[in-house]
Amino acid sequence: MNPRARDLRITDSTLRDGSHAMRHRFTEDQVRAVVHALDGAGVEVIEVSHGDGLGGASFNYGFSAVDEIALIRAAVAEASAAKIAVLLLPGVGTVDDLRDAHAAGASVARIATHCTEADVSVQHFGAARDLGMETVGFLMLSHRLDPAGLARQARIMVDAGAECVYVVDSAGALVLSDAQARVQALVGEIGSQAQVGFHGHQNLSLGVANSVLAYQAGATQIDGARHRQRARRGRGGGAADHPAAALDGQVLGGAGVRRGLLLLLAARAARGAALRRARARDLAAGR
Amino acid sequence: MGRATAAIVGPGNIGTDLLAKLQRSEHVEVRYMVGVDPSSDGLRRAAERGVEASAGGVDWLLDRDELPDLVFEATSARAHLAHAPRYAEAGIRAVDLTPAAFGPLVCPPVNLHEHLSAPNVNMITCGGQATIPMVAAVSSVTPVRYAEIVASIASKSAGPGTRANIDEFTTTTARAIERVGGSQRGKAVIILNPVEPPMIMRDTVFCAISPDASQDAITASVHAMVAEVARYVPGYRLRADPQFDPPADDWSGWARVALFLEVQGNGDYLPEWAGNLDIMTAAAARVGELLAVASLPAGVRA
Repeated sequence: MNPRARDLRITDSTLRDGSHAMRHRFTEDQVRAVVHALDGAGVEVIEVSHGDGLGGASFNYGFSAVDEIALIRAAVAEASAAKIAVLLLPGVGTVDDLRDAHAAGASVARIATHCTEADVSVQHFGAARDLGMETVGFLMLSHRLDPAGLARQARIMVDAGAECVYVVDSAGALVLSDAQARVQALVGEIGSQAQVGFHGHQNLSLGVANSVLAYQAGATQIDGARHRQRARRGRGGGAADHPAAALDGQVLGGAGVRRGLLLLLAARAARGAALRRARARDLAAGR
Repeated sequence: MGRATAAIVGPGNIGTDLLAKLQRSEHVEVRYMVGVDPSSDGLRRAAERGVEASAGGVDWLLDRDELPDLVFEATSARAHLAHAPRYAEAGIRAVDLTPAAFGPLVCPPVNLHEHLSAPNVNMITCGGQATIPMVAAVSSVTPVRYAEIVASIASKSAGPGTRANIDEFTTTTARAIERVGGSQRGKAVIILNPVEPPMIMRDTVFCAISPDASQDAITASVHAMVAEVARYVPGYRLRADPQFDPPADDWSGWARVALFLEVQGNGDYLPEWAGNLDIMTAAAARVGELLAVASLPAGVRA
């Protein structure tokens, strides 16, 4: 073990990736309840957007019950310490959408492309940096490129202004060493200039294990979402984010990560309770 | 009465494919191919095909004793914005294949007849040329509250210009869905698919329509428009009959028609799978022909 274990930052994507399982029906009350719980538990970054990112509300991907900018504004108002992140897929959302989200208080821009198409994100990273936002790159369907190829795409994002690039296992298809090798390749290519993150999915029940291996390979940002938020309906993009809360201290064992993971355990309980309370209120109100 | 004369400015893939198409035209004769790089393959190819080619740029073109009637611009939005006033001053009508949108947005079978005397027309985007005829076909028989298009293209067919400014595609196409297609609101999505072998361009068009709209009238209008586009893009076809859906709970009472298109290129200079590029050059050639015919004295029109 390193004498000083690395910090690990968890980004909770229940209110973005989890939106698929909700058919993009999140209400402002639900967002406030979940953000309140996560923020209270010490989660540092909370992602709020349509499941397919800003501008995703559409016939193709499903319309949102509540405009995502209103949800972002509610999340920002509710959070006292957590940063609110948004996802943007170039080709779906635009720089204008990003400006709207920033004006609503979002401070982290996560720009996602298919893993072979990083160069379509250049203008969006530039815009995000100009807005003063923290920037994160998202290389989706990372199993479709070998580690070296993926690292070259991560380089494009870092050169464009990404401060962290994620290996995103959108299909939950990476098997253990596959995930680790990709994270290692990214650390080798961009590690001196940017962080590396990992976004796992649970299709093969390996999301948690892959996240552990990613951490061991040098990842310092990991995504999680409320487990049942992903597993229930399976509509839309990746139907099985890994249960962030299962990444507990015993699994990882590293002293430096324990704080982050303990707070996740707290967050898990808080999120579940918050969503249940919000649903009960909706039912009582006849919604 | 002879053919209209033309220059192509920008000897890249698009300009070269456009030349191949226009060299089959009865109404347009390409006299000049203009670039800025003496080592350009496109200039060499154009010269081999009997066209006067120069790397002297627009200065060279405007210095010719015989100026062309038409200029097709296949450079960049920035270059076209610089060139457009000069063409206008010289009395040369411009067909702009860049995203500059200096002149009115045109789609040949939909609204070109409104702009036959415009000094400068813009070809929108590849996705716009593929999908706006479908939006217009629906909006011509029933009000369209909202239209959304999803263009899927082969990664290899998206050049550096498209990649550097993909927002230009989505915002320009969305605007044209409204202004040209006749939908109250428009949205455009583009997907770059890296699959090998490269995929043929596919487009999905969704229109929000009244639940009472005549499905037969929409279907007939769509088929008629597909036939009209196929006159200049032979590989333009529906993958299935129009699909109708009753209002869903989050569609605010609107029903939906979904249209599924495939655009196979003609394989002139660009490969057949690059239907998205082919439909730009084919539509631009069509605009050139229609402008040329419209400028002839009435007695000699076809």
